[in-house]
Amino acid sequence: MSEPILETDDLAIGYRTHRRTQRLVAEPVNLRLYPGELVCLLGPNGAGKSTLLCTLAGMQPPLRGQVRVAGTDPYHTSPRVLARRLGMVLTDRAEVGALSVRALTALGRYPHTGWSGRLTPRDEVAIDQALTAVGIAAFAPRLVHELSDGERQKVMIARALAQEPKLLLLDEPTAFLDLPRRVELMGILRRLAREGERAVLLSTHDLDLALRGADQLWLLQPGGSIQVGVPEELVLNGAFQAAFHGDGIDFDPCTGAFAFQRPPIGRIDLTGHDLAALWTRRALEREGFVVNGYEGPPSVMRVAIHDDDGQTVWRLHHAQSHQDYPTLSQAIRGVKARLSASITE
Amino acid sequence: MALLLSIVVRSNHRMLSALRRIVFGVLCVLILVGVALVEAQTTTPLTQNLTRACVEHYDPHIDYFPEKATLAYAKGFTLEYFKNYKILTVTMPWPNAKESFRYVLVQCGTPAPEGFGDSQVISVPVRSIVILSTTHLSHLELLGALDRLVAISTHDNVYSAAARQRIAADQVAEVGRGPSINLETLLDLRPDLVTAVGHDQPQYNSHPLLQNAGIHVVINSEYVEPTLLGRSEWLKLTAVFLNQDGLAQRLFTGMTQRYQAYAARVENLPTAQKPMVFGGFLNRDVWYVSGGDSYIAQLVADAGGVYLWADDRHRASIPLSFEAVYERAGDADFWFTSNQDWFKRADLLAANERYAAFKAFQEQRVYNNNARLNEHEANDYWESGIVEPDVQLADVIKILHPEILPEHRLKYYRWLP
Amino acid sequence: MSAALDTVCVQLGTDGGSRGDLWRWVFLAGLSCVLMGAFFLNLALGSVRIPLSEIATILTGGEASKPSWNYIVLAFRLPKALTAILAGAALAVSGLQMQTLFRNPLADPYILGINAGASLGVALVVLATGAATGFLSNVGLLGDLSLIVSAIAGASLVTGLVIVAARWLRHAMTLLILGLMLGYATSAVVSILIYFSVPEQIQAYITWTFGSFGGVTGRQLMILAPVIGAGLLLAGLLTKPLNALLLGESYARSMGANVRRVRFWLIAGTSVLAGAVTAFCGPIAFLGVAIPHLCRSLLRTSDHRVLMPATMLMGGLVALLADLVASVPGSRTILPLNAVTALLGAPIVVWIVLHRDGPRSNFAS
Repeated sequence: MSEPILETDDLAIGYRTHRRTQRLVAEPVNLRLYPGELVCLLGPNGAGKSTLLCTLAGMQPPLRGQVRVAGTDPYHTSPRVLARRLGMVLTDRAEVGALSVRALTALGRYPHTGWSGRLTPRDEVAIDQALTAVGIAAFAPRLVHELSDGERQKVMIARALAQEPKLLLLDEPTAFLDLPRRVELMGILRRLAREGERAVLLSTHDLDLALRGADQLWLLQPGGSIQVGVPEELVLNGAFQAAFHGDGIDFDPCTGAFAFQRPPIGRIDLTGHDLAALWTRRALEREGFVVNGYEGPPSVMRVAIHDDDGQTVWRLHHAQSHQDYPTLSQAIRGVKARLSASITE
Repeated sequence: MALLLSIVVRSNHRMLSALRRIVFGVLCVLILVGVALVEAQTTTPLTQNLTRACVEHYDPHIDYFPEKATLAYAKGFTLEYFKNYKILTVTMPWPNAKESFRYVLVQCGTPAPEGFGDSQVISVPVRSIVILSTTHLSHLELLGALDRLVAISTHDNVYSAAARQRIAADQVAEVGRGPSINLETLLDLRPDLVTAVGHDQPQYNSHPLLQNAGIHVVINSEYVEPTLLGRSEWLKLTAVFLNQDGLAQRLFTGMTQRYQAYAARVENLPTAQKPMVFGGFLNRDVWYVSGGDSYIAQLVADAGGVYLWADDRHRASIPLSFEAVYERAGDADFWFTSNQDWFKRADLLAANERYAAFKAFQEQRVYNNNARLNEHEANDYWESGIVEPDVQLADVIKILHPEILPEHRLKYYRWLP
Repeated sequence: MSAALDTVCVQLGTDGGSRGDLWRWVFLAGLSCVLMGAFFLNLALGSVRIPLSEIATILTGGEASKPSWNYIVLAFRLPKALTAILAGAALAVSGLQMQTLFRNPLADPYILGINAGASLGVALVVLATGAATGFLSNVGLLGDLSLIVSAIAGASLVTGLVIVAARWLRHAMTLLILGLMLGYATSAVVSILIYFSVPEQIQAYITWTFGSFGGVTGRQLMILAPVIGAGLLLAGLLTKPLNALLLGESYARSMGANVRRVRFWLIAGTSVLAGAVTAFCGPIAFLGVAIPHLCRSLLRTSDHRVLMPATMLMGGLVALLADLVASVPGSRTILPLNAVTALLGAPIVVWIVLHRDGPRSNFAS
């Protein structure tokens, strides 16, 4: 295993509010980040993700302990040298005005160019590579303010790439994007990490994407401790649930998703194994049913999904009678009606 | 009479009783005439205006102003005399004024005339005066009324030694002028008269505030006159309030005669001998030059010079650019500047190097009207200079044509070395 | 005219590639030519009518028919035009720097209170009591020189305070507010001085605030020109970090810019440029705000490598035009310079805002 690009030893992060008082956010923090890895930093609001990122990037000093980026302390390294090792993408939607995509990406060559900022052929090559790596080479001549949010974030990533860093730090880069864009961005970042032998660390609120896309998760618990591991491990050992346990929601390890805590309104059985059955199950659970629960007597109601000449039909069995519904929406309404009818009986 | 009586007695008794009747009648007539004559003796007309006293017994037949002033050069005000009151109308309180101010000056001790409700009715002679401009100070001094000065706009800028003495003795208060005038002090002093200057910019005027407070204020704006003599004649405006009409008339006549005597010495000079004159100085980008209808232009012409902007038809100063001034006056012979802080040509250079390009500068013919300054930075040009138009003319003639007035010494103008 | 300009701008702007760059440099070359033209126009026109042939004669070293014309053109109009170019460039560039540093489209070179400091210095001298003017006269300092010295002193004082603060403050916004408050405080002191002065002194002070290029003589120009040259050179060296600052201070730092140091040099450069112009010419309004916007809009770019030379040229050009209008050629009167720059500047900005997409798209906010 190669040297870690980012490592911390016994780090305590926090900030000073007044001259004397310190606020401790998290400690002790011992992290390692290796090239080729994509790590997601997760944690509930207020746990201290931004503080940790700022400290790792050298924007503020740690309260105690050490950070090393490619072997040097980022807080005490000159910005120019640090910029060659570390590239950042922040949440702010930078309104740069009338710059072309290429010009904005070219800004990433800042730590490599001389006092005039003139670009050598080597710089041009780096810019081209950055644009291609992110997949926006075709956009190069367009003006940034004409792009959508997703495209603009890609340009910011390309700019960070143009610095040719070993480590990419991203602070909630998907915050303003829609789901397809988020997935796409995650894919790009994974590729950048793998193919470019870089380490990528991003903080995000997108738990689902993090669970799926990250090689490692760094989970910041509200108490100030960090748990490190592959995503699935953190689910299995309950760290996820503990970190995100909140009023009225729960992380369901079976589905890998959050669900509202509600007392179940009833029980229902579901037969069928394909896609329709999966989504029917989700709909019923949202309504508050316990589906195919294995404790207790069989449920009073049962939904069976048939395939009737290519058409999917939902059949609700209840008390010896049944009812057919051609669409899932109607089936759900029917179930609810049947339930309220049985309550009033 | 006795012979007649003896002749009559020698005649018979009837003629005697008739004669006695005639004599009695004649005696009665004589007595009546004598009484009438005696009565007529008590209404002798006045020979002088009353400068210090009020009238004890008013007589509507008496002309209380035997000494009257008439105006020869001043166009900014008019005077009318009646038996016991005068009407002063200031027609030009400021340049291009659309309003005039009328004052009814009533001899103290006599009743005010009817029908002047819209004018200020002021009892004369006034016993206490407040002046809001030091240019009015010389009037008081010349008319011997300095003792009636109770307040002045500012204690600085006062040149007159006598006035300074009174100030030092705390006999003269300071009241400011314009909108920030100290009304409280004024009301406390209760002067009989305040003399103010009129401005066409209403915000600089003091008189509205004073009138509202019930204080008598007269607008004394001699600067509106386009001639030097006209300016000096406003002495009479101050004089009428002091009943010194006669004195002012005599003084001014003297000024006029002397002025004209000086002017006569240069009026026949051929144009070739008349030097070219300009004035003013540069203030940032603007050079204010006195207009062709101003008293400066008149003064230069009367002194046998050619004022380079005589073709201009403004009475006030005209703003010009450096280029325009240099083009016309670059080769002028004499430069009369008026910046009070300049005492030598080096001062001009310090202010602006470009002054050195003027021929008048190079040939050391720059003059300034700050020859008489006291330690309080007061310039007597604006005090006694106002009432010595003849001396001013003599100064300028001396400068332009030194050979014509060899014995005259410059009083108000200074040569800048 | 608008359609033609649009065509040119389309050529310039929508293409962010190399063709767009080429057109931008062509635009700059054209701007330089127009600048030269305006320069000669300023020499040819003024209060006094001088025929063109005479102007040519004078400029080529000959004697004109009237010797006063030689003086007028060489010793008056020439320094005035050169001063206008230098002052316009200085103000426009420092306005650009401030707008980028504070990411504020309304920022101008005086935003750090430089103007107010210079005004305070001048007010103290002009509105001071008679005793002081007597002393200054004896020392030979009265007149233009005293105005220059006092303006520099005042501007330096305020600038010094701001620079010291800039070292310790984290955020540009705090600095902005500090500068604004300093400006207000000094303006208040000036108001008090005015209140207690006589009309002649007030008039002298107010005349100073009108701004003027014509007061700078050839000898003073020999001081002003190198100072402004140095300031412009510094601005040129800061082009690269200015581009980085387009993204904000956090991003700029992450790309390798030493933000504290860059901020210091930007403020120092602006102080030198704006302070020198204010000291020699008085406070000149509007050029600092309007010219950068005009250039951004015409060139359709925020890239300082193009914008920096463009604002220098455009600043000089507009200043020349303003001076020309202020001298009202053909008539004897002259207008105050600040009124003309505002009358020229305001419509420019309005035109930009209405006609183009608006400052938001052309500008980092």
